[in-house]
Amino acid sequence: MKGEPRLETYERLGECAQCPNRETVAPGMSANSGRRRFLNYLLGTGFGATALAIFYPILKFLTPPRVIEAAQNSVTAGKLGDLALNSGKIFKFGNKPGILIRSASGELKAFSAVCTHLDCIVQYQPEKKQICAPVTTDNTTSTVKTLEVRRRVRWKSM
Amino acid sequence: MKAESLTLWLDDRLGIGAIGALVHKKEVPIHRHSIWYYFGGMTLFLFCVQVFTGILLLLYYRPSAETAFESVQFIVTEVQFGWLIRSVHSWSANLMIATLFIHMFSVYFMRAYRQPREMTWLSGVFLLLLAVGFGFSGYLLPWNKLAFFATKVGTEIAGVVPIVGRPVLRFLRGGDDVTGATLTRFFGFHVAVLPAITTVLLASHLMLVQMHGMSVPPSLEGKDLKKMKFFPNFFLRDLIGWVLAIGALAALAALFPWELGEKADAFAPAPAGIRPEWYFLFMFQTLKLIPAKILSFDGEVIGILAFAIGGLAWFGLPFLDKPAPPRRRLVFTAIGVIVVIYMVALTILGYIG
Amino acid sequence: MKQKDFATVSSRNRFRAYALIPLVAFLFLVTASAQKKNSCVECHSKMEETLSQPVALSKGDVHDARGVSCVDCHRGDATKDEMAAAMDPGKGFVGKPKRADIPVFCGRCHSNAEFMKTFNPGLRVDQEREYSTSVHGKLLKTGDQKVATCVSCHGNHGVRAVNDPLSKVYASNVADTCGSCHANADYMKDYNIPHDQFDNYKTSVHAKALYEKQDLSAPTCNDCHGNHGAAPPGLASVSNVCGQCHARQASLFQSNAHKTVFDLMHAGECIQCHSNHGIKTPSDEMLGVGAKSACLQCHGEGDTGYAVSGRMRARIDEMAASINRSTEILDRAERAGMEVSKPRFELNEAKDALTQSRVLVHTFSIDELDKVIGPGLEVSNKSYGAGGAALAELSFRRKGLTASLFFILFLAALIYLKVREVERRQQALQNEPL
Repeated sequence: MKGEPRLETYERLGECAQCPNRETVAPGMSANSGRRRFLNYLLGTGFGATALAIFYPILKFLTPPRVIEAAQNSVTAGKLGDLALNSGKIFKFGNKPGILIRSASGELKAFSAVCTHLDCIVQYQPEKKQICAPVTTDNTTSTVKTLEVRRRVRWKSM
Repeated sequence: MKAESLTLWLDDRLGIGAIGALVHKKEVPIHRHSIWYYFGGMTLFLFCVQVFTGILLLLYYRPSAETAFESVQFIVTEVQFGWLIRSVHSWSANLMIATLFIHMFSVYFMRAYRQPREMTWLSGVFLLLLAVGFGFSGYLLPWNKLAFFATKVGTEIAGVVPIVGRPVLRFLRGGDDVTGATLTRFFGFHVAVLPAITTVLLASHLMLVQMHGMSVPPSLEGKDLKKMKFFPNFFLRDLIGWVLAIGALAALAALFPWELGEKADAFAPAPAGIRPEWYFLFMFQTLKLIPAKILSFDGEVIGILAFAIGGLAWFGLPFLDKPAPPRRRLVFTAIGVIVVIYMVALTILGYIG
Repeated sequence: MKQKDFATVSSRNRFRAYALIPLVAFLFLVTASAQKKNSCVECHSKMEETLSQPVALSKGDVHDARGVSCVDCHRGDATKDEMAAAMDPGKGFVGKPKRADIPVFCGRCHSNAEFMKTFNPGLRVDQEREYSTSVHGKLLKTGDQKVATCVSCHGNHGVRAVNDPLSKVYASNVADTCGSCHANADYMKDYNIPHDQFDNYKTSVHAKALYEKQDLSAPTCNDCHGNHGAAPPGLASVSNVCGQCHARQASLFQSNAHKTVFDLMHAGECIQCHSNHGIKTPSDEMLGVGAKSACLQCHGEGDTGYAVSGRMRARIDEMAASINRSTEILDRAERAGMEVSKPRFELNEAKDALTQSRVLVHTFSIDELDKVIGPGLEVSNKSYGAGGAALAELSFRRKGLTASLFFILFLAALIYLKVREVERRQQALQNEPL
């Protein structure tokens, strides 16, 4: 290539005596070039390995995980068609269980499914049309806490 | 194409040869206090780590009160190496502020703010405020109990300032209370507003440093000091530090993962012993120790105004410390030492108290 | 039909309307001044302590608030100022009624459904009849002067509604009211019953719920013994009484051979194991073959009950231990920084199973217990596995970290060597003349 300094005969840019950026191999020190090469090779490998150790996790991070989305404030409790009239269904709401009840008239209500007595998970008993806890089986509807108003239960329609 | 010919090709089109020349020309004086020269670069490196990990987190984070906590939980549990990126981001933030303080105080004690480097100092103090702003806004983003109340207390203190306090509080909170609006606002500050301003200021700061070169402590001025080239000598040394910093961050992330805590609940009472992050602690502790009333004035207001005045003095340091007899130097050194001791002592007090 | 505007009414009619006003005012004044004269209050309020007390007490009295005054109970004539005329037996005056007559005295109104309806249609009117079935009522008929009558619990003057917290028969005051006689050893010495019920009750979990947790649904004396028809329930009906609240345990017990045996033994069903007044929170130690086991009251080594009891206890202990193990490993993982909220949530099912199994003890059947404990153990083990996985992940991270650190430190060392090498060459270059 025209006009280009004859860099090929030197090991590195700047080895020519006229270049201000001299990292010249001084005469008589050519034996060190082997060691230098080895060091540079190791350095390159070291950088490469570290770069790999950094970029591998990042690449994995960027890959979408198995569960695509974070838990939201509203959860899908189930299909409307799956929930018959006068029946109840337990669903997971964040870290707490909830119970979704479809009354005989078709109204949907959601409650916390944790009984305030001994923290059992309550069930809906269609014959009694009541929410019951396994310990007392009394009418415990009055002791079942209602989920906070600002959270809603979404349901998928058929 | 060999690297050299590529360089020539780029130089032809972008003129990078000039930058290359500048970099090759830059020299760093070697003396007893040279070690402190590394801390600016370290801060810059940690900032880059922050930007990088921050962008990665941005791909999964959701900035609303209903979803923020869950999205961070998601990152930490479901996303591969999410725990690593998140913990690195949190730890690097703290390390960055620590190195920033060291850098700032080393500049102070080495008097590097003197003529002609006043603007470098001014831009630096602004960068300090921006960094602290990053810390404060970022801390709220996981929307956990600790963050919620720390933000509540912090903005409350801002609101105590006379006249401007209330509007500032409302501006920060996006309303009268800390709500989802605050979160969204803080998110905007953290990922857009502050980065934009920081880019400009950081570029100026770095440019000014290159322009004026490395300063030397007054005691060593005029002396014929040994110099080392910035590239490759100082830079390689810098690199060692940065590589070790990566190692430190990895170790901290794996051994002391950053806590997630419980989701914020506006109706729950504040947890006992709530306190801000360590870099705010000395101010917080000072305000706690100030008596409720000082000569009929509200103690807290006096405290905040005192800090404001102190901050202004710190900002205007280059104009206060004019070239003067060595006696003056001693005074400023003494003030610096007192400030450092004060900050350290009150931070410790804040933890054990 | 549209209402006529007052403005359109003829002037003569308007005059008539206006004329009514002074008439109405006059009538009002007349009736106000003739507001029921009560000579009882007028005289008695000026008398000494014991005789003026009824007047003072009537301030908070629920009868007085409804316009039921002295003469409505004591008869006589409140319009007369002279004592003889006001307290005239001829007018039906009854002073202080005889103890044995008190139920009838109160019952004159309170057993009259038509009368009580006008005040509160929901009030029961069978108190007098119930009382006659009670131990108090029966003893009163024999002439006993010490037993409780209406006024002993409700007071005579200053009677408050039952839902008034100041009433002596308000839920949290009932035990003290009953205890004012029943806990008095001296007072009760003629009767052949213990007097430690009140003290025992105070130590019970029911008392704790009522007095400390302010839970008014917690039982006090009348919830088990009845209030007007107060009597200890029959030994064979104890489980019905307890079953008012502890329905599941009661129904499980009643479908069991133990009920038949206990009734034959006059063992008092629930109270045989749980005691009657000083009922404490049951512990697992009441089951099994240990020192505190209730089963050992009847069962001895070698019989089936002994073995079943031991096995039931073992299963429950196993369940509890499994939950503890799982909780502990999850705690460890969480402390180390791992996120384990999901396995913790799932562990709740196991806790549910443990609670259920403690209820199912009342079936006295190991098979019934296993139906719940089996799945419960599965859930607990799953959570334990999740905790273990979290710790394993932690270990993996630490190993990964060690490996990365190795690379990083190696790299740092290499760079340092490079620095040394570069500077050596630079030094050599400087020393070397060009």
